[in-house]
Amino acid sequence: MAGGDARFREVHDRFYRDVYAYCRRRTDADSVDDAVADTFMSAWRKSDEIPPGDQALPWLYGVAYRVLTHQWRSDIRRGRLTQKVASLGGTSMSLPEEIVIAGHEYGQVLTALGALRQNDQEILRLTVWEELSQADIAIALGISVGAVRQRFYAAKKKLASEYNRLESRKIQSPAAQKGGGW
Amino acid sequence: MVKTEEQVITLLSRANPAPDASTLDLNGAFRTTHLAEYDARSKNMTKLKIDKSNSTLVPRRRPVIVGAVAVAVVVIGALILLQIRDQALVASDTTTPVDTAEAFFETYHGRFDVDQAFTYLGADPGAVGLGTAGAANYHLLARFFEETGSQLVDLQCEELSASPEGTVVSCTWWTHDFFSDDLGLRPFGPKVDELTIVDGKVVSIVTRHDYAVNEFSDQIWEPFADWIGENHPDDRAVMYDPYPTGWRITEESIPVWEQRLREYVAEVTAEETAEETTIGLPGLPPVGATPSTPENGELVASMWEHIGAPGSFGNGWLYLYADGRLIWDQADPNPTGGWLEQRLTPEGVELIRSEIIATGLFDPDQPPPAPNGGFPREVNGGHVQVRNGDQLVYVNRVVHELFERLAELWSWMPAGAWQDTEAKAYVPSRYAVCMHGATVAPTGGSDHLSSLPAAARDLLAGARQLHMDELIGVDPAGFAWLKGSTEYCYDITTEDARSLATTLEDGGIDELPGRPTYDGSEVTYLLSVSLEEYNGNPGITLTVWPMLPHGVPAFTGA
Repeated sequence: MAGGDARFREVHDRFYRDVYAYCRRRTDADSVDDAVADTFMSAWRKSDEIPPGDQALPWLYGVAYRVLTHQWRSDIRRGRLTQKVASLGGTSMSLPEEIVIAGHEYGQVLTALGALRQNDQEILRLTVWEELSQADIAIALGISVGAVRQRFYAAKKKLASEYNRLESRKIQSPAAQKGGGW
Repeated sequence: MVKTEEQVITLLSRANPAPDASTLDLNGAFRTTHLAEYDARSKNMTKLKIDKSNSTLVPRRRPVIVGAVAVAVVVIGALILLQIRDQALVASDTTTPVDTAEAFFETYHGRFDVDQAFTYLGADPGAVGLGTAGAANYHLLARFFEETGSQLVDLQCEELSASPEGTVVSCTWWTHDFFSDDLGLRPFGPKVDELTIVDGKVVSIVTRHDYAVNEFSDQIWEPFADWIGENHPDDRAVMYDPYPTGWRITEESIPVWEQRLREYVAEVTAEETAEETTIGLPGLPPVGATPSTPENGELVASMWEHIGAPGSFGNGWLYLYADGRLIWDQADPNPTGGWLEQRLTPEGVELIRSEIIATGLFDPDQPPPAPNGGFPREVNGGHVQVRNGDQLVYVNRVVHELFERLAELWSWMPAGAWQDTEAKAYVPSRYAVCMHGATVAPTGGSDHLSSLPAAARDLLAGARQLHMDELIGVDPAGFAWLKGSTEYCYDITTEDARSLATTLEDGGIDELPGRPTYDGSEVTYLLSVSLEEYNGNPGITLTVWPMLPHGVPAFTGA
């Protein structure tokens, strides 16, 4: 690398897989490599700002999020992701009907997630998927820890409300009453 | 079937498209390949340095009626380009077009320095494409954005193309607007501008972003306009033209915008805090939260389980008081984020007490179980105690079934047993402030306070000290594990706890992140190391814990 940059190289080597996973959770497989490359390119350009130690990871997530939002210019891509994830089955399940139900539930919860405000979605994803602390989420999103706390609890409540609303609509739909499948 | 919040969160967790990063197929990509790519691409790029010291506010050029889907494309004609070139502007030998673009953004959008920003332009601002404001109004616009809490949060510029007509640089940027950071919203963006640079000067700015996609309108503009309409209808004529889609920026309107925005943010924040109090409180309660009453309560029964089995309560605590309060907290697997409170009728209290006694697991004539592995009265992963007459008696045999029974209170208790089933945050009347660390003096005195700022030291020096021996006297078995510990606790009011937290934060003492996973209610400060130095060994710490109605800090598990 031109000029060398020990800090960037250290961060790159240490967190590459985490950033890859982060992007993989938010976009389709075809777009992941570009997103990761753009994230680290952006990080390289701002390597003087990379926080010390473990705080570099949430900081990288923040950079990656902005890269991805740059990519998310259409809802179509998000819809594709939802459909793709919705097709996943639980690895610990054995009965086909359980897999179908789980796939439906995964799709439904992701649809519910998509109905929330973007920053609420991201707080939930960072909490549940990346398992970040609230302090680290604050670093990733550039907001205060207090704001993360408030938003997390509000977002959790809204997610459950939206999920149950979607479920109740399904139950009440004529197709469901006639035995229409998922 | 309706799912609870925790069930939906669990579902979201299982819907993780890439649950285990360590097993990911990285599409055959090798890190060295990527590093080589950065190396190649970076030859045409420069490192970015935003001067954060003086760039917290940014004027944002927004010549559109917000809420409309409008992609503003402003093209400067070749005539202007030629005119600019004729002016023979001189660029620095070392300044790249990307440098020029970033300098312009940082000055104009980051520091609101309009006059300085204009020195980067190769023509009249309007001719360059810098919005539609008249020359005199650029300063007014800058003031507006500064007063209404705009901030340039991130900026990324890169060269797109170079030709004899100039170098085109694309800048992508994110901002906070209308105090959106105080509302917990993430920065708005990406916004994209393309700048044409000729001889070190910006000769054209073309906006290529869609204001509708960055959620500014949905998240702030529209809710705020609605709020103005409902609460300050007379201000509409001052602030908007027309209401509610266009703003009016004048000397008269700017202070009104600032004042109303600050009021709006305060109101929304207060609403969200109120919403938060319906669940557990992480840390100290918000100002104005009503403490649980009565301040003191007689313990009727308690359960503490630290090994969660499937279907059981998990890692958590549950306390039942004679006044009907059921106060509980679950740290794992579904953290409640702090202590919760529900209310039982007197009949409900007696129902639980008699249910526990009826198990036959309690023998008043037997001594309580000894501490086990550092846990008080631990029997097979937890303990249960219950009031029998005037004394508390303890379980001393295997209690899986009892754990499960108590964990399922909500499913088998009749409706008439509940006075209020809604789980609200338990708001303590008092807090325990405990210092812990290997170097804290083991024999009392005030030496252990020396690492605190003076105001915090004074506050605790005047507070009642909670001697562990006193607690041991109340509950010998439960507190035996604390005997000889270097834990020093003080009993303080909520107001003092809040004041203490402010003093510590003002003193630059770092809060330990992540610790709330213990029970979700405490706040721990690092006294001997900074957060940056923290590597798992916190050294001396100060933790603020809720006090439970029976007079013990929440951390004791007793």
